[in-house]
Amino acid sequence: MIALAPLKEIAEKCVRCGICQSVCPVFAEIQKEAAVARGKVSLIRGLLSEEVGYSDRLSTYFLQCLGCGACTENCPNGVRAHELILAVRGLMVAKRGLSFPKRLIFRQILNSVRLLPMLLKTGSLLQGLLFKKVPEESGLHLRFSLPYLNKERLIPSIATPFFLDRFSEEVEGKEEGRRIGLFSGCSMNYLFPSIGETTLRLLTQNRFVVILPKNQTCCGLPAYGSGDLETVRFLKEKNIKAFSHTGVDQIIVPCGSCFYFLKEGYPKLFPEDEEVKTFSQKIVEPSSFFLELGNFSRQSSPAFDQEKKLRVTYHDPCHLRREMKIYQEPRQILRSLPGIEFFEMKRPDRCCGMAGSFNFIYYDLSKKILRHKLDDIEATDADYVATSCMGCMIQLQDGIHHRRTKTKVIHLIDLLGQVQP
Amino acid sequence: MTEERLDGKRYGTPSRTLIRQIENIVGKESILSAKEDLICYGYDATNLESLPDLVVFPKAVSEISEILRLANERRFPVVPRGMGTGFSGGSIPVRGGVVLVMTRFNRILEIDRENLVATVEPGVVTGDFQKEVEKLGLFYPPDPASTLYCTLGGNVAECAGGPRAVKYGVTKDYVLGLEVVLPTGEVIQTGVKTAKGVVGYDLTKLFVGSEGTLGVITKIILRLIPLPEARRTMMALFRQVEDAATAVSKIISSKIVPSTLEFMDNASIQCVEDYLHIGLPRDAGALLLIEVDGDREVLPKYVERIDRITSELNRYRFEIAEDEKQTDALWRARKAISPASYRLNPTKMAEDITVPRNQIANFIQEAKRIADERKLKIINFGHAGDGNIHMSLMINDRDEGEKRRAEQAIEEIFRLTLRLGGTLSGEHGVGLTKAPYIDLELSQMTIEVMKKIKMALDPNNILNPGKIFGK
Ligand SMILES: Cc1cc2nc3c(=O)[nH]c(=O)nc-3n(C[C@H](O)[C@H](O)[C@H](O)COP(=O)(O)OP(=O)(O)OC[C@H]3O[C@@H](n4cnc5c(N)ncnc54)[C@H](O)[C@@H]3O)c2cc1C
Repeated sequence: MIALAPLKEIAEKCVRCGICQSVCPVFAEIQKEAAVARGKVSLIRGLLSEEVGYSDRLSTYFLQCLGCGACTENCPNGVRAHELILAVRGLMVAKRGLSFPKRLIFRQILNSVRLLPMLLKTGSLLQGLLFKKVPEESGLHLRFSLPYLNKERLIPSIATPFFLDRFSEEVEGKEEGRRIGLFSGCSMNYLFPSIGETTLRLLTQNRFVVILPKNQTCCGLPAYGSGDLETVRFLKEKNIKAFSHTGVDQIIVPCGSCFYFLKEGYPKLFPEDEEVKTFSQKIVEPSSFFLELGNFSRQSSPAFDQEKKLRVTYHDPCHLRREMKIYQEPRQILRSLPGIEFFEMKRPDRCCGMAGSFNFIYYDLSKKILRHKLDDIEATDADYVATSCMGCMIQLQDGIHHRRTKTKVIHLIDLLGQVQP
Repeated sequence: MTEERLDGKRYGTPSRTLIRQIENIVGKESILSAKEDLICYGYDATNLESLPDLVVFPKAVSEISEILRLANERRFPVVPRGMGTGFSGGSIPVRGGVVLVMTRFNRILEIDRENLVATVEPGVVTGDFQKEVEKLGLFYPPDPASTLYCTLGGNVAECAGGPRAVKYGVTKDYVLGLEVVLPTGEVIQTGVKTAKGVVGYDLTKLFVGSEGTLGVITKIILRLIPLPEARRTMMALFRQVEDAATAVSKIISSKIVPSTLEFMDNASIQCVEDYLHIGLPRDAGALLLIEVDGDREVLPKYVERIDRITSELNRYRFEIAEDEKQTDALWRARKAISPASYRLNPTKMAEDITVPRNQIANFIQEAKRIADERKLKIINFGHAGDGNIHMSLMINDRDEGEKRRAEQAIEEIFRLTLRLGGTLSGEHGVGLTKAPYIDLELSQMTIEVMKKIKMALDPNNILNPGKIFGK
């Protein structure tokens, strides 16, 4: 369990220069010190000196953070502010417990391997009742608002069947080769199964035998973001167990956020755990993986018209760019794909505002933050905005749908897949 | 909040009626009063702290007038605040009261391209304004290092400067006129919208640098100049501080005024080298970062002349940036000083003294002696072009003895500065941190005149009390 005391030293490194005010997407909208790292660090000092307690207001302020890490990246004194904020969320849960909806989601649903698929299956049957299908989009609107689900939000339809249910635990192509694990994550399993299928295809075409353990589960990042470390521990154990007998030495993770959490989050949260260390060493990210593999090339492809090149821009998921420093690899891929012209948008690394449950609790704020991203995308006049995180995809699709921009959101892997049909 | 307390103590907590009155003026959504919020508005970049009783975000000039009238009636302090990046405690409510956050005054009202004049509200972020005028080929030069996260109002109130001051001057050189709400609530206009203007006393200059003690600035008229076409950046490393100082004098007397002349002493160089490992010679006495700007055709001539001047001195190395990337690389060392310095010790006591340009080497040598005698770690860097040196003692403030020795050293360094013909603060202002020392620099009579002005405008001492004169 985290305690407040170790945070003290980190908090004291903040000299309150205020530079975080110039990079924090939440502050840009709210313009209140409590929204920005400097204010939050001061609140941590307030907690330490017991000037304030874990009040509702304090909780709200600590939840008003995307965890995008822009403050940390720009802090001259190396204060890892966004991590401090996440740590305080953990303390909030320890002191106050989880809010009812979160308790329900994390402790009852995510914590049970069967309940989530079951609920979503029921959901997929009821989709027609609960949701309106949006014509020409692969998305849905709620017919009425529910707690945490704004009516305006566009939600990708729930997959039938789920990705993991479409295949056996071992998938091989025409030729037999090395074994590799595939981690699905919730978004790919329930919402974007086609990205999973493309990944599978690319891997088997490259003579990999893909191992898809059925009992793998949520990576735990949403629970971590809400301070629920108990659930994180539970999910981590399930995932490690799911892959422990597969004998793979690499596990590929198509969603950038899941990738970060499995690779970096687990060992940071459980530094003493040897199993975690072994597991996280196996985790690989698709763009670097396929680059290394190297045999997608400027070959001609029927999917792309060589005459009229597609304009593509790239949105950097925070977890990939800031946490993992992976931003050159996706660009290298985009620059080398045939039929594509790559354009950089103005601020590709500005957070899209999704940030897991932040987006559900503060839908309006999240949309304001998204607005800047949409402006930047629109300015490139791109046919596609590619990205590598499915959270970002949900958010961008929602924004683009409302704006009726021509740009389509695509996962980098799907672009790759179109080149290698 | 009852009587104005001249003993410097805080006021009582504001009564519910008073809060309601202020709410009636600005609206509920423009007030913060919870402890969690007050904690976030009691500091600036000095890391000093004192909580306000109320935080107010006014949206209109009339609201500010009404609050100030109420403050005179009920006697509570009002402290203007921009983005709280001040380095002298100017926006800290040392006696409680209302913090007046000016960030909702954030419109650029006009950029007049024919007359090269802009009218802005004080809450505009300096860097945003610079970006806007540069889009039009115009230039607003004052460039405090905090430009992306400080306000023009804060800049005017502190008369902020930056590296470009050596060629282009500081904030006061660009302020043509102001709209100010006086501490008693009346609104006045000062200055002109023209290049010249001598009708009456120059009240504009009085309010520039007044640190939020004489009035609340609500509108600023700024002078603009054409944006220089190009710039070139160079870096020179010298064996001795004296060589760097000679270089500075010779460059300027050769009729080149660089747009930037930043320097780092040996301690800063070592500190940055330990942090970045970029191959700076650890025994170099000084580093100069030199930038020239102007028409594209003349720059090579300047660069060549500077190369020649510095080559005649004891120079280690001379580098010229060929593109943006190399320019950034040359700035890297200078920009890393702040984070690097904390590797020496956890606490920084920073001053921004300024001496005549030709006294820089003297100052550094003497200041180092003062620090060495007290076993303190000192680094010096800053704006060599205008003699503004950021002198920092890096101390462990948990060590009471060391803290006391540092305080003594600072006072002695101030005396040294004045002996060399300098001033205690080049750009950060007096605020709280230098208030105990102003009588080292100013005569009793000068201070009396300043106090009379303050009392004439703010008879009840409600606007930002406890600053400048607060010994
Ligand atoms: C990392 C860093 C680097 C810096 N570098 C420089 C530098 O290179 N050069 C430099 O000069 N300064 C520098 N500063 C100091 C600081 O940024 C400047 O003094 C700046 O002008 C303060 O602006 P602010 O909006 O943050 O004002 P605040 O700190 O909020 O306020 C400063 C003062 O202005 C008053 N004030 C603010 N708005 C108004 C208004 N509308 N009407 C009346 N009074 C008002 C306040 O009462 C206070 O006294 C730096 C600070 C930091 C943290």
